[in-house]
Amino acid sequence: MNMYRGRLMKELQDEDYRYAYDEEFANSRMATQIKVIREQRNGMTQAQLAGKADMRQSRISALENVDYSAWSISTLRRLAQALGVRLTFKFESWGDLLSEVESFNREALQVPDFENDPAFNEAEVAIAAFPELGAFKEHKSARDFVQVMAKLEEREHGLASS
Amino acid sequence: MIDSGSFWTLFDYVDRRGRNAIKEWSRELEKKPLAKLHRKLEILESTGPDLAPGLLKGTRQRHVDKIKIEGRVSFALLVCRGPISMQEEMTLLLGAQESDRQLPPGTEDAAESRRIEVSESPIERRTLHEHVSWPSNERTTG
Repeated sequence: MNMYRGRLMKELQDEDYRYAYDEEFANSRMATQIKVIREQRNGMTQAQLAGKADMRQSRISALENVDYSAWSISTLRRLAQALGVRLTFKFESWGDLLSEVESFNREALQVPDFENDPAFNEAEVAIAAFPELGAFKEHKSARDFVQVMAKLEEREHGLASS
Repeated sequence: MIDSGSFWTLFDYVDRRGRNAIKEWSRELEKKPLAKLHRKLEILESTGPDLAPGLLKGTRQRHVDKIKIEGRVSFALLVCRGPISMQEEMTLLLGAQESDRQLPPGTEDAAESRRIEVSESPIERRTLHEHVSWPSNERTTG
């Protein structure tokens, strides 16, 4: 999806324009991402998120609004912990904005919590500990998973007896 | 899901003299509000009205919503779903400058009148949205 890239390449040449555009982009993305991740958590309600973040539901409602602009890092940190994700903040190049604009959709905004993060699931942890099991990484079936675990168990026994 | 990756078609209201009222209004916007409007219309076009929370705010008119452009001076663009194809089209009806965060009296009623006009004569009363670029003497369709 690159329907906006051409005209953005031109319009973002103007400094005032690009900072105004980016402000709108950042505000609307954050508001939308809070809502998207909340809904990703088994349809968590605003009230439930408010309870986990020790905020009022009305506050969550205000934050989940594309016109909200008074973001504070401490508030975002509380939301991050309540949603089970990490907050990152860093400076980016303008080129990154182009691809971020193009990938603004529900799927791209979703973030797994720690328990569902593929980088930390059991098979990944096993592969990290025993890289030779990496050949099984692309196999998704239960049979392959059993094989991975059997290999892991065998390796552990080998280590224990050596 | 409707709000994920499916493109919506945006239309501009055309008045009885055949002028694109949204294009005329957009051309008068300063650089910063125009940039903010562009981003909001991109969201509307690329994800529809339901993904981004608060993108569309209700008005006194049941079928008319508004897109707010916040800034030193605030603006609002009044829009409606459809009114022909409700699941894939939005029509931009009327732009206005707000005062004390309020629309000028009669603005929502005027937008509703335009919505009815479009509903009754979609060929004559609307056209595909025209993007007004910055600088605003250059325009492209879509």
